Amino acid sequence: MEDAPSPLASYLDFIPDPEEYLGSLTDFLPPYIRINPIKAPVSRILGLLQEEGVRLADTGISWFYQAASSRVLGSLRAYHLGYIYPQALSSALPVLALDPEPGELVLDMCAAPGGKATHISQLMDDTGTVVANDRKYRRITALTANIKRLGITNTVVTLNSRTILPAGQPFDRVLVDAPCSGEGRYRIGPHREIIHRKRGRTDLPAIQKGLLVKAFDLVKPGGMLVYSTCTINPLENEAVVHHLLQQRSARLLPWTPPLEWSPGLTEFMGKEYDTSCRLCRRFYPHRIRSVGFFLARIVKV
Amino acid sequence: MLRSDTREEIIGYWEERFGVPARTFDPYLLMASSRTVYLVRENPGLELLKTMRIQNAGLPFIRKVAGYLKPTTFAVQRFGAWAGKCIANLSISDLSRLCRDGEIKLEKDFSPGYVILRTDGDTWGCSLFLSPDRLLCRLPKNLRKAIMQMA
Repeated sequence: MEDAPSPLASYLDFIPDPEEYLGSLTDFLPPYIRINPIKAPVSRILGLLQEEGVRLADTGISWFYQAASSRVLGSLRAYHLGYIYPQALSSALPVLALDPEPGELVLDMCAAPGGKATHISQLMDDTGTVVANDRKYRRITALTANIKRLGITNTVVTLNSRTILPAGQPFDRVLVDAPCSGEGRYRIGPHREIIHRKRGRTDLPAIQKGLLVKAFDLVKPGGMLVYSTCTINPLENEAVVHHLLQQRSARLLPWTPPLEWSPGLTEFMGKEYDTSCRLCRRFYPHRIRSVGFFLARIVKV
Repeated sequence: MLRSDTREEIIGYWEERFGVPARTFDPYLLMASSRTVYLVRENPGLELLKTMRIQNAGLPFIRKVAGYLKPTTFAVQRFGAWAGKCIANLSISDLSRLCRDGEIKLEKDFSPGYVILRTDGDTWGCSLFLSPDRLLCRLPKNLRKAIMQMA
């Protein structure tokens, strides 16, 4: 364990089975798809995938399958017909925690490229309104292309930074799948180098705190807010949630996820977090065979 | 938002040309940009979004091309399953040939205009039928390329 690359070495105290975790980082994660019943009956989609030689394995999460194919998933007939969306299994978790209902007004604050926003639309039976927002124009292109390919009608795409989102508290639910360091995606290459490491020196925790507080202000009283990242770093996770709990009248809610999880941390590197941070949920890649994730389910008191 | 007579014209086109019942579109608003009409799920919450910088809303539904109404590929893929007429049922190899050559012979008694392309019950989009027996590909370039690689 001495050769764990930075920054992962500092997490080995709290990751369950750290040796297994480090060993798993040299394996590729299996691909998954979400099927899209807005476009065709589930039976037809599964039949077509079978015709195209795709071997599917159930995941226990509605519409999500592990998909093994000799062909690139994006070249399949089912893909071009808008029947499937290739997506990490763990990406389902924030949307399931958000639990959107038909007819509601929902905001996905950092929506591009649209995996979670379109999953929200599916859970709402393409009714109500999903506002799929992003602050970068070039990312909006992919988001819009996916919404069109999946045939979704209930989504409004907006280009707003957090500083110019509307005032008031219009939304029933808000998802903040925040920009993060992406450590849950890290793999270790043949020369012990980290693959998928993001470059840049942005102060991510400051951005994440700003986004979460703004998102909280946009939720109706009693409404639901989900904060998620695909990183392991507590400074981008529990520390951000702790900041919100100090700033606003927010309360964490318990949740039983459909994949193996660990509770949130209440301490990291000598810093203590609100004890309710244990209600956050951590997902480690060696336990779920998908991208590592973190999420917090928050209600506006 | 479209005027009600324009809405009736567009919905009437889908019903008359393809047999898609007009009531299919009751839960939706039609919103227009300069060239394209979008289909947006109706919801009172939309009113609250007026102050936001909206890039686009809903699904591109129909365009006016050279004075004619042309349903978009995305709308035909989504609502083509409700169509009962003007449907060209092709094999995947014929669809691929249409994409590669840009035109194939199709012996049908359709009136000239757009027809829906289906293979094995899957709806791909629409193309232009011209008498006698000519089917001209009108699928988007990226989809044509993908279909050619499938066959």
